[in-house]
Amino acid sequence: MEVYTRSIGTMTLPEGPYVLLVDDEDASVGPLRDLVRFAGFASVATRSATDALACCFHRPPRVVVTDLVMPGQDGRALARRIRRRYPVLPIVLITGQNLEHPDWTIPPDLFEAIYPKPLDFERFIGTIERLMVAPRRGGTGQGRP
Amino acid sequence: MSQGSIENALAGQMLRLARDATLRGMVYDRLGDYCHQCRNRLNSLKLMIYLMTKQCADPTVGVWEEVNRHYRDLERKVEQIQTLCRPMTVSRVTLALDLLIDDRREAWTRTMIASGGSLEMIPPGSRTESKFDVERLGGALDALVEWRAGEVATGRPARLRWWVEQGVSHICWEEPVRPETGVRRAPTAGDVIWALPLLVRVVEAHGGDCRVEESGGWRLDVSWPTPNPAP
Repeated sequence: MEVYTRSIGTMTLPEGPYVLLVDDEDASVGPLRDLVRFAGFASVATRSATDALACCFHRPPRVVVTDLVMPGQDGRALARRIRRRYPVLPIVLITGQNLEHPDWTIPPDLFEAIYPKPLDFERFIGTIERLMVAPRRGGTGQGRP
Repeated sequence: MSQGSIENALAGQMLRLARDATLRGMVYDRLGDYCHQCRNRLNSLKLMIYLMTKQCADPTVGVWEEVNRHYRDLERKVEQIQTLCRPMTVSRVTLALDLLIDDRREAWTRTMIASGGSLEMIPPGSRTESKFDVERLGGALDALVEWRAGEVATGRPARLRWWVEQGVSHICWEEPVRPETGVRRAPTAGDVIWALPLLVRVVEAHGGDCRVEESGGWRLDVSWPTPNPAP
């Protein structure tokens, strides 16, 4: 299935379940895509919340992995918009930002798991594997490392 | 200006930063974005190393272990900068100080011996149930030991004591003899600059204090309030 986004043109979504990666930095999203591929899952990489929403609304992913700080809508705003339409879609936050700073408070239950950068890749892959097999059914916030 | 004087001056400025919340806030505002970018880059680097390691055949494992060690050093440096500048929340858990020290006894002893010194640990005679952030305090004490390992006089042991008394936890590091001026065996300038400010930052976040005495030898007293456990 093809999706058109204003910033990167036409993207092809995988046929089966996929992980949607959202990070505005090429240096971050590229290796992350390699990691998800290494773990054996299909993925789509987007550079903004707008592009990510376009993918979600065409065909929702099994899991969303988003950065926090991005131009335009940040990872929290993206998660809220996804939640409205897909209340049980698991969203994982990855960030290099200091979450103890009051500007970056994370509402409880918005994310399935939160991973600080640099990531603990074994745990991160474990979380992705778990969510790809059994997406969450309630807003418990469990899985936070 | 000698290298030692420059390091001492820098260490003094870092100490000021650790103790002055207003100054820390100003530095944090300027360094916040820089540290964020550093963490993104570190993440990419770590990920590339991780994937390469996973895909490598056995003969190259030693090489990647070395690369990993260098990477961890780099990550630790960024962590130190951020620990000093950013807002800090301490997660106190109730734990015996003995356990914190015992957990690190072997590594600290090894570090001291590797640089020609030694460490005598003098356990307290009474219970040491305390309340502290294990990760933050442990990490700051690790940095302290690495720093002092390069400073302590050859052949003269440093002493470490710890105890809890009247609602206050104490850790005391003593070096009875000062090394000759200018003699430093371990070229770890970063630790000279960071170790004490980091410890001060962590201990003050616990509501405590660090005091250094340099008459004769070198002595550091660390203390923080520890409410008595309920009877």
